[in-house]
This record gives sequence, C-alpha cells and structure tokens, in this order.
Amino acid sequence: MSVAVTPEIGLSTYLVLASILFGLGFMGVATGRHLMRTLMCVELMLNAVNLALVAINNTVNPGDLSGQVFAIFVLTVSAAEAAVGIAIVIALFKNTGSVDADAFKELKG
Amino acid sequence: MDTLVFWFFAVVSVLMAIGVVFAPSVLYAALCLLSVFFCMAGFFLLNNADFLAVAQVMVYAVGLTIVLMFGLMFTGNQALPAQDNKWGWLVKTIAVFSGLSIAGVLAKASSSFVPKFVTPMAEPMKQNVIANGTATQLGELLLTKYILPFELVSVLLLIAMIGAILLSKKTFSDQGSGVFFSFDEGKLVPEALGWKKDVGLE
Repeated sequence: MSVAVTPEIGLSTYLVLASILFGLGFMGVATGRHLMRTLMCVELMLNAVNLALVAINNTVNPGDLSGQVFAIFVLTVSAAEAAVGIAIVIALFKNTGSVDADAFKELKG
Repeated sequence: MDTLVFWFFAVVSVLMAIGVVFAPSVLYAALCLLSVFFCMAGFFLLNNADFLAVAQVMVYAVGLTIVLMFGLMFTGNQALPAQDNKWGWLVKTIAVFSGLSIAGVLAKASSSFVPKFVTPMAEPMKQNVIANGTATQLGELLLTKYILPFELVSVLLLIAMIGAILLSKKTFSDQGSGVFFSFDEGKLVPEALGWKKDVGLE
C-alpha cells in the first residue's frame, strides 16, 4: 500500500510554475515606478522563459540539448540588456536626480 | 525526494517573485530576486541541466545581482515621492489584473499540456545525459550547429559593454568625456566628446 502519494512532477507542473512567474514579472513591469524594479521584473520574466525551455527540452528530447543552448543565449542577452539598462538608469539619475518612471516625461511623443 | 525538492523550490520562488514585485524597498526586491535565481538553478539541476545551473548561479546570482546592487548604490535607495497622478490607482489595478490574467491563461493552457511528440528514446537518453553531463554536448552544439548565433551574441556583448561604459561615464556635463547631447535646430544631437584624449590621440 502506498501512502502519501506524491504525483510525479511532469512537464505541465513546470509550465504552470513558469507562467505564474512570468505573470508576476509582467505585473511588476506594468506597476513598478522605480526603474530598477522594472529591470528586475524583466529579469524575472526572462528566467521564467528559461525554466520553460529547459523543462520542455528535458521532457521532449533529452538527447538533443538545443533547448539548453537557447537558454544560454537568453541568459547572455539578458546580461547585456541589464548592463545597458542600468547604465541608462544611472545616466538618467545623474541628469534629473530621480529614478521615478513618472518623472521622465521628456520622451512623451 | 525530487518531488519534495521541487515543491520547496516552487513555493520559495513564487513567494520571492511576489517579493520582487511588491517589496517596499528596492533593496529587498533585489535580495528576493537573488533567491529566485538560486531556485531557478535548483530547477535546472532537477531537469538534468547541470552546466546551465552553474551558469545561472555565476551570471545571474553573482554577476547580475552585483551590477544591480551597484546600480542601487549609485541611484540611492530613497523612497519615491507619493504619486500625484490622478488615474494612478486605475493604471495600477489594470496592470495587476492583466498580470494575473496572463498568468491565469498561461497556467490554464499549460496545466493540461501534453507534448504532441516525445522522442521514443527519452528515458535512455536521460540516463546518458545524467551519466555524461551536459557540458560536452553543449560545447559541441555551440561550436557547430549554433556557431552563427554564438558569434553574434559575442559581438552583442561587446557592443553592450562599450555602450554601458560610455553611458555611465561623466555625461551631461561641460567638461570631461562621455556622450553629450545638444540641441541643434530643434534636433537632439548626440556626440561622443573627449574620447581622443582618453585613448591618447590628443
């Protein structure tokens, strides 16, 4: 007799987790007023996508690691994005003395 | 055992992601993000991605967090002024609602997701990957099948590095080097000044 049956963690569990994290990241990007927090939430979304890529790769075709290669590219591009993003935030802060997204109205079309 | 570890990481990562979005201080948000990164590394290990887990810890949990911390130190950790926007609450409600609905729709779709094609040799392949590790195969893929994106990404990193250095140098001032912006006939004109002196040409 098996007690405390814990179901096997399948692909769909990982995908549900990744979508929850992605939604939380989107929420942060949309609500956040602090520019740094916006950047962090973008990283959160990218991480959720990486999780989905790796989980799908491990389930569908573990012999070919293309999914993990894509995850490495996502990781690299997100590192570049974060570096440039933080440099822009610092330049804006030096110029205006604020990191509030509401304070930057010069770029309004 | 794997199931237990998975649920531990899952609960911690979702709680910490909520912390990233709603923590009162941005510094706490950065610390929450750090633990999300470590949880992700745990998930990668559970999915037989050992190289990616180590890369995750090195690039995200160490490198990116340090860059974020430096950014926070440069910009100061003071609280933002109260919002004076009349419709701010409405925008915030819509944003939270749309985030929840994105998460809900994706989660609903993926909770019953079954891949149309699963390679018939999945189990022995998995054992092979566990026995040999992924680094060898990843290196081969990066230098054969994915050589073009690999090279492009390296150029992108170089451009991003130079751009970040230029942007965060002494900008918007009359002296020193960096990128300067001036208005000429109503047009915003950026120009890089002082770089000749920096590299010893002047």
